[in-house]
Amino acid sequence: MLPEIEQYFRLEKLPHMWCPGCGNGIVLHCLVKAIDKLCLDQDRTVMVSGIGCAARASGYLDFDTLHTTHGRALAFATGVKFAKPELNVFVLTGDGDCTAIGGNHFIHAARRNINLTTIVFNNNIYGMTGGQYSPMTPNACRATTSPYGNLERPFNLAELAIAAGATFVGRATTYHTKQLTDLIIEGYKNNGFSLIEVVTHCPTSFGRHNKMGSPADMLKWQRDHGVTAMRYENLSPEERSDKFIVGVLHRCEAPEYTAEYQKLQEKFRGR
Amino acid sequence: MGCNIVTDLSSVPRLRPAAVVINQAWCKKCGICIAFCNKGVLAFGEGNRVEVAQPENCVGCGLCENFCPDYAINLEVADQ
Repeated sequence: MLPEIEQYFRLEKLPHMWCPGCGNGIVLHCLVKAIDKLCLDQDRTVMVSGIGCAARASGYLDFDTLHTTHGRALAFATGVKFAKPELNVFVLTGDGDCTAIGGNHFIHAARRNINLTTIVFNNNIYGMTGGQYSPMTPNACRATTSPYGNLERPFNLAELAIAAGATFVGRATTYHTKQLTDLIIEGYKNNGFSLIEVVTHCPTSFGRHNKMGSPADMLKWQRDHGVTAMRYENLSPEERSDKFIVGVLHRCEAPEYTAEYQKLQEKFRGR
Repeated sequence: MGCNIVTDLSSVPRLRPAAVVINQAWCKKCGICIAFCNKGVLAFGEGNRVEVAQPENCVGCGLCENFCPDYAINLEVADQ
């Protein structure tokens, strides 16, 4: 770890509880590097997380942190932001936490366009509870609850967020660390709901069941399957089938929720 | 400190030499750093401990530190 980012960690809590080779550590590293580049005040930055492997991230960070109930990270974060709009609020959530248990909170936070930076650690599985398939587990992939392959189709989280009204949507992988750091910076700067979906790897619960090899092999899989939008355009339909786009996927302007509320307050105060 | 590291391609800009320091207490031996080091600097040693086998080959690219999920690698770049 670079000495300049040590101040953002609760060093006495390290090493973290994630499995050897887990991508969550890389995501957290990128988040901290982004915060360091943004020069955010630790006392005015809040990390909110739900339940699951990814949600443990808030416990390792030396900010004001909130480890909430399953799926409710966005609900708590909405409350924090609404009460104190001047705070920087980051939401750290996993794919199961965000899309299954907290699915409704997710679409409504995006619809309201509240100024939160949401980082979804998408490892395609419920890792902490023993490798059950999640709404982000790709079709035909194996999990402990789908030993013959998942029958369900996964969510396309980015498109879901765009349809729900998010004003910044990006996707990166744990292989594309520089891009991930830049996306977090851009997501923070967006005045509205920002979603950064991070394709991360779970070597223990997902990789093992799907014969994806070592943690390093899973990182190489991300390198080979995450492509830029420009490259994706030039691929044939067959080549596209197992590829996904990384980078900024969507950006637009919309009124921000807390700012609108502020205006309403001022109107009734007669200012 | 003089830079005497030779890369395979002379056109590749030389990075500053660095000392790779591994925090064994945090390392979980996942092998990502070893797999991604293009110069073969790191290797599994006794008891699967990650060791700096060929420090002289390090070009200071920082990939190992970047990819280490456990923050167990620190690249100490020499001042020039």
